[in-house]
Amino acid sequence: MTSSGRLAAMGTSSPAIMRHYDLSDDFFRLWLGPDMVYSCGWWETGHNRDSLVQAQQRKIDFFAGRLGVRGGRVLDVGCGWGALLDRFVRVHGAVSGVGLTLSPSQADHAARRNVAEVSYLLRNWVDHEPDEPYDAVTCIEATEHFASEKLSPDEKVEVYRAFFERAASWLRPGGRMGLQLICLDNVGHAGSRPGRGPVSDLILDDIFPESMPASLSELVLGWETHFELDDFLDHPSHYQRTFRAWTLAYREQEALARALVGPDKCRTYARYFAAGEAAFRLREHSLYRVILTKRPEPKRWAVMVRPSDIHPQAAQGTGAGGASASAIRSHYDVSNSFYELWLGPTMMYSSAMWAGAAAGADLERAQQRKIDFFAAGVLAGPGSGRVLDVGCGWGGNLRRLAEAHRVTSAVGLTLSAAQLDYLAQHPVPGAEIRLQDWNDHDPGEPYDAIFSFGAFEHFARDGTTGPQRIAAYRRFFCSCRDWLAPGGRLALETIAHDGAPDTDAPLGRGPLGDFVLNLYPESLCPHLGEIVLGFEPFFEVEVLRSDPGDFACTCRAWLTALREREHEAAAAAGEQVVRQFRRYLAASEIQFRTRTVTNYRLILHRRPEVRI
Amino acid sequence: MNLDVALRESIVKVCGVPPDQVGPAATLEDLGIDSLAAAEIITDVEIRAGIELPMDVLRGLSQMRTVGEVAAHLQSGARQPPVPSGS
Repeated sequence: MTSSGRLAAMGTSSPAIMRHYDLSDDFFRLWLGPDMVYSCGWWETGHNRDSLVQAQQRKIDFFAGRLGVRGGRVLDVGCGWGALLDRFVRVHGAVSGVGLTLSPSQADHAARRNVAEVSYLLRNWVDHEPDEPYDAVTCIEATEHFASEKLSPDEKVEVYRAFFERAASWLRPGGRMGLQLICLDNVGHAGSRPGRGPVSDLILDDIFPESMPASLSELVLGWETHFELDDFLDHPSHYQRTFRAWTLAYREQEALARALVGPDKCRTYARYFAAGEAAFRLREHSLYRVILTKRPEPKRWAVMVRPSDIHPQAAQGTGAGGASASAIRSHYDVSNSFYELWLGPTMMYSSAMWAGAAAGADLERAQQRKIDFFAAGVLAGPGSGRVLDVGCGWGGNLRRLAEAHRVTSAVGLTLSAAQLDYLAQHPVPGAEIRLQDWNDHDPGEPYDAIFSFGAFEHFARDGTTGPQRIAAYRRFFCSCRDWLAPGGRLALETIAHDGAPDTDAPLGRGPLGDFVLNLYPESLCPHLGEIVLGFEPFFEVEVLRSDPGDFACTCRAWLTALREREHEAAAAAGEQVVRQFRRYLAASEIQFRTRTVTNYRLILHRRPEVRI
Repeated sequence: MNLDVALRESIVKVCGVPPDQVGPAATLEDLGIDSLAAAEIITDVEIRAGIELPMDVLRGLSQMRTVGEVAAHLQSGARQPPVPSGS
């Protein structure tokens, strides 16, 4: 475990924090507004008359609601001038709070708010040792100060791992964490170093010395051991509007600002607002809002992946591939009529989206809802563009895209001869189905959108380590980027390990792991950090959802249908197969409900340039 | 439906053992119930009893050693109020 002294030295020093935040409270108030909230607000689209005050309150209210702070005890790491805890207690019914800051001016100002239930401490997070656990921890745009610009990505991950381990120790079982994160997006770690250009020089020298945003992958590696993901929101445009609001407020008070801090500082801040707005507009930086829940037990790793474990050329390598065609066929070629009995008319063999529908609700409608959700996220509009479906199954997705979204040109890839046969008998208009591994795919002309549901689990084999899987995923994402036209998007759905330990077999060797591997030979689910490290050089993330409940309900719907038609199923595939599938569906449902595994849904945008 | 009865019926069905072997003192190990069979038994109990067991109960199952312990564990969970969603 990294020592507190080392951790403190790896972050922004107190003098550097003071240089920025202790400049002048009166100066900050001119443009932050009376409540002194120095982070991104939450702007509603369409509310052009939204004020900065409303946007900041809406952001605080979001965290209060999702963390369920009523009646709870909250820690705010990097509490600024104290607005968040003040509102948590006064408006949202939190019973007590502790705020940590390294800025004496902020601590003084926060203490003068006179909220008796909140103590604001001048203290580094590394030195915080609470007497009793918290119900929730917030960290709003403070992680950029945990790792200085001198650290390597590996060292940054070391810091974030230590931070989230500490945060988990501060929380009660089941406690939640709310994060607002500024992350490097279309500019990588190396590209954001000083010397890159005037903007990064300005921010690193004159605004936030000794500070550095994280890449999303670095933070996921940081939290994944101790926390499961509940919400992930991508809001870069909210920071564009926040910086613009600061610019406008500042301009109205420019004369006063000059009197307070002098013309040089004023010039620096005016440029900083413009540079900040541009960085989010260009997606060089992103703003993510994340809600996490403490795991019942820390996740165990066979290999603690570090960013340097992944070779920069991993995507071009020819390492271990995914499941072979014969392994795929052993599962999907059981019997088309057997699958039809319990998958229902859509023949979709991936999670439906229930949207709060009651148990036993319409599976067909829930499968359509899932497809429509992704179609709305990746298609430019009805009837536009050419689509690829990697692992197209029995064509349920392509059929819905053709019928409901007027997609007229599509290619579907499958390794299952039975699925190809089914699609020959039930063709999808405008779709060409190929019996082909994605590794061998040549698109001919670019696609506008790619879909892949429940195929990613076959892209890396059992027996592989994290770094080997990441290399395999990078090859997939690199290929998708190559196949897509500029502006193209990728809809991805995959089962992944959540609380389950990292082993070289599904869910560990044991009855369950062996059983799953027997059903899905040569396959292995990813962990979230591996997915993110896989796509990060090639794609921006717009949507990332963890929906284990949806897949649990889907398993139950399949199991119910299979039980109802058990005799027909046995006639189609044999009694042993039916027994095996009953057990597998029941076990899968429980795995999702206990969050041993989860179902991630991602909508990704092709990066303009590959991010190095 | 009585949860205790539902549990025993599910064990009989999933494990293929005669009902008189599924007494409260019978151990899961002797009945050949591993984590996989347990999942099938639990979903079967839920379907037939028309209940939904909370996550704590599912996660706590691995600590149980006998049929009687599982029955008591299920009863305690089924009596709990619904888990608040937090939102």
